[in-house]
Amino acid sequence: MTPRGARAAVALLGALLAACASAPPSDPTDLPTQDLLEVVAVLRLHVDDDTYRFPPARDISGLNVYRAAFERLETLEAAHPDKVGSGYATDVLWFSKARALERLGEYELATLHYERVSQLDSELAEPARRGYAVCRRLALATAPDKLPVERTPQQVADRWTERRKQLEELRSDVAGEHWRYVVEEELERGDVAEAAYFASQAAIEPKLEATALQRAQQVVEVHRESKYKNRHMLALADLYAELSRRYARNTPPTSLAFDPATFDEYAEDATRIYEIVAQQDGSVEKLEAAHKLEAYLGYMLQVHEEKVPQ
Amino acid sequence: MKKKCRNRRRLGVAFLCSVALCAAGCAAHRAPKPAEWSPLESARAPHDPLPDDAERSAARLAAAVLADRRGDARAEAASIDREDAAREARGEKPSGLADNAAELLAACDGSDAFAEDADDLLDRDDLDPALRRRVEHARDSAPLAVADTRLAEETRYKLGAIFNRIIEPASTLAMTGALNPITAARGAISTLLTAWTFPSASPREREALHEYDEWLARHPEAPGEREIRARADELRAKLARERATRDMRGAQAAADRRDWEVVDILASRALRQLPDDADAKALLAKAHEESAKESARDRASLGVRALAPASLAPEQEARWLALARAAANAPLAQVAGQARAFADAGAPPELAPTLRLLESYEPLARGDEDETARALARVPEHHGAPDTASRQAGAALADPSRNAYAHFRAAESADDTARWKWLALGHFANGFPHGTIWRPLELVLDVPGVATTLATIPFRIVQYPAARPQFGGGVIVAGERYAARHPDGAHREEVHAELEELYAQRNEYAAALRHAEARAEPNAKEIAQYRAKLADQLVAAAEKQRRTDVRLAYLAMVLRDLPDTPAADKARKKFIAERADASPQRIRMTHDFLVEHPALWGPGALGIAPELLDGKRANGEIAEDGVTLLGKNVIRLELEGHEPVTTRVPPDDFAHFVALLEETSRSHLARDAREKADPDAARDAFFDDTKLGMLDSADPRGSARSDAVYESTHEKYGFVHSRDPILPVDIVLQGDLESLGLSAFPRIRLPEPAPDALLYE
Repeated sequence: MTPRGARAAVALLGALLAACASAPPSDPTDLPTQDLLEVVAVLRLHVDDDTYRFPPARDISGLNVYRAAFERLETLEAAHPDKVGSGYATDVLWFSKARALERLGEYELATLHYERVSQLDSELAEPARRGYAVCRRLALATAPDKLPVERTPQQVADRWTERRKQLEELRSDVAGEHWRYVVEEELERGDVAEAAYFASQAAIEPKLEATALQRAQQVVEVHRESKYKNRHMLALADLYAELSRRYARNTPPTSLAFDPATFDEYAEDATRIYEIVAQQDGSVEKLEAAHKLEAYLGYMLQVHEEKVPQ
Repeated sequence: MKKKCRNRRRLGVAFLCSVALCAAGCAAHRAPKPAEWSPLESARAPHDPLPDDAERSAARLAAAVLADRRGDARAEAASIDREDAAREARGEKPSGLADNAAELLAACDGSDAFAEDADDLLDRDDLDPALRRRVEHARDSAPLAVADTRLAEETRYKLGAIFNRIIEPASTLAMTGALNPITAARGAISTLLTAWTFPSASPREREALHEYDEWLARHPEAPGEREIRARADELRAKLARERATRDMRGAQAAADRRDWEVVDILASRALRQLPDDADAKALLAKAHEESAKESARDRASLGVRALAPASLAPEQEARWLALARAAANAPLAQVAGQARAFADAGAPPELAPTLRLLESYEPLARGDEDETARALARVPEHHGAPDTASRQAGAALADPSRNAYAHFRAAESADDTARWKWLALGHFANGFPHGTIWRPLELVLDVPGVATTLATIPFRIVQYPAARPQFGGGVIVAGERYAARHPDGAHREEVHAELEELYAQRNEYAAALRHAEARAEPNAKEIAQYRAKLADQLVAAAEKQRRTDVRLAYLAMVLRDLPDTPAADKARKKFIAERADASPQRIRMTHDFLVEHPALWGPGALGIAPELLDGKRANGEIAEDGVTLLGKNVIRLELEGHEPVTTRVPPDDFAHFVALLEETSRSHLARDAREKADPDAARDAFFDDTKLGMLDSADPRGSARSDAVYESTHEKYGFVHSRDPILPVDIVLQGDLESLGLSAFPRIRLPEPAPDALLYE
């Protein structure tokens, strides 16, 4: 080999080594998904998931799997307007978007997508009509109240009762289908919102304290199978803690009217529930409950010290 | 004749027996004495004598101080001094009010100035002991005094700690160094290297800073203001450095695990403490850069390359589309079948992972967990190009809830490894522990210790049964996930059995019972054992409850849910006794406490007949348990050898008694350094209601009941008044099986943390 040839060989080897050393293949988590079929395949894997009892699955990117699927489908639709507009795979794309949207609580949008698929000449038209019917009922039952401020607490309670009734009827209608989990989540969301409404109203109208407590306890009792059961317990403990604070604010511990037993009734329930949640190994709420318990115990000590100065 | 005699003898024996029985019976049940029939007397308390001249002057002095008439106050104080001088001249005792008058005059200047006047007061030799303690407390709790005390304690603490840190390993080295020279030398060297390291802003220094700030806020223009401010600023700078160091340590650890969000928070916090810190700035910039990259990666992963694969042949497009339609809605088994058919018909190679992902739906449709996991594991294909479908299969397999059995098995395996490692390597099980000295040197010092650790394996084998419950936490979490996700899963029996055993080892019998009952063939004997142990736990837990209603709830739970257990009988008896004995209050004074404070039970207070507390059992005596306040004005007297007597005290006398009882407690607290305040809001609320005459109804809520007990001084502290040792040194003898170390050395007693140290940590 001539010196020139040797130099060329060395240079080539160097270039090859450099090529091998640089630019490692991208991590598959960073790469775009391959095509529509892959998006639909992942979505389909999770369509029957019980998202009422268990947290929704996470996509490889760490996002909620339904949200990630919806984002990817949106990307596809925006990137290929002509092809989709021509009717190529349009039914699959819209139907899948509807499936993702109904899991995200976007029932109006899901209804729209199902409706569009139902008007196409596709084997997905029939299931889309069923999806349309269910999501329409979900959208109607969960539509926001247009007059929330003007209503009395009783009217608000009646409205929640009516909403619950509609959803319970729907739940029995979709008993064997994946929507039953969606309906259960909506029932839970409604119960939580109602409890939160009465908890906030009780701050203005002390007569509603008992109702607020009853509603919060009901959420814990009715939804003890839910993935949010620890969160509901935390909300109940927070309410007890807030009621004790409210009592101590309105009747300062140093005043003669302060009744330690009334304060303790709230405080002991709050600490007991915080303790229960703080012992739930493997749950995120454990940390929150442990720190809330510590903070609340600090507050309780302060109240007791004010009542009995040392 | 003989028979008659024998009969007579029998009659005699029977008579003697009956006499003996009668005597015994009488001894056991003597007739109640008059004081036991009627334990309260109706005598009225003698009136207090009318106030004398000194007392009248003291009252006028108090009024003058309250009205801020200082001239009048001084005149009245002088009047008391004159009266005392006159009494002394007459050979009488002084009024004892001069010290109180001096305190009142000192109080005229307000609480801020009181601490300065306290020294003058303490110079007096006529101070009442309780008043002296109170003035000393006021002097010592002034902000500057607290700050000085804490800083002096900190100096003592550091000097004492250095001595203790050096003497202990030195003693071990001297005594058992020959037996285990490696560990002893390692302990001595590492201790010597770290003996001088302390946190730069200790809780005591932080409290001193707080007190300086408090003083500066109260005395912004005082003469020593500049000096105090300089001291406060110096402490504040130390505290800022300490906080920044701690935050940066956390930020660096977060950076090592690439948790950039946490790095951002902690490095920003460090920068707020030390705005010019270059390390914090660099770390924050790095966090921002990495976070931006992560966001870009997340955005990229949400994209899709194409609507359909470009490599599809025209005749394959319809098939691909049909498969996509099926995947969107068809039953899982049908989707899997179509995917397999497409693959068999020669689908493009890059579609293979996606098709295998769809094929995995077939075992999923059958509910076959294991086959689904195997099918998902087959999805990835190493064909050189990045494979995006396999990552989805990987995500499904990595989900601890969806792929619960695999995670359960992994947790079991990790737990087995952890246990074996602990048995073999003890405290080296998780690698060489991180200490405070330079890491390479630490490793060099630690390596020889492994030999000792291996030699002590037998000790750990002996300790293993007790240490077992510390392991298995991860298995429990993973097993519970499986049981929740797959109540009818293929491995439920195995999981329930494992969880049952782990919970039983941890004495968590409710959970063990739950899993034992969930097994396919429940073991009746084990279930009975768990139920019995659970019932025992509930009864024991009931006894620990302060509130009666909670105690009753625990006992009721045993009676309702576990009535067939041995503890149920005990629970039943306790429940009945608690219910029968329930009372709104349960504040008790022991016999000796009452003897120590006769004013509490004399006329005008409880009004108990004196015979019941004169120590003579013959005329009746209150038992050791004493007298219990049951709520309203009802009291119960425990009597020696008789049933307790429950009676009512006249409301006015009862209110007077409560006031005396509170005064007695306060007086004890003021005079006796061993006494500690015992906050009890329910007791105080009951006493407040009593003094206000609100005795019409008792509060039935469990939270309103107090179980306070008043005991005599010797019941609380014994008959011998223990004194603190003069020398602040303890002699310590200690040994350690694992390192075979033994040492004996003097240890300097370090200052106790301040009562509110928690607020400065």
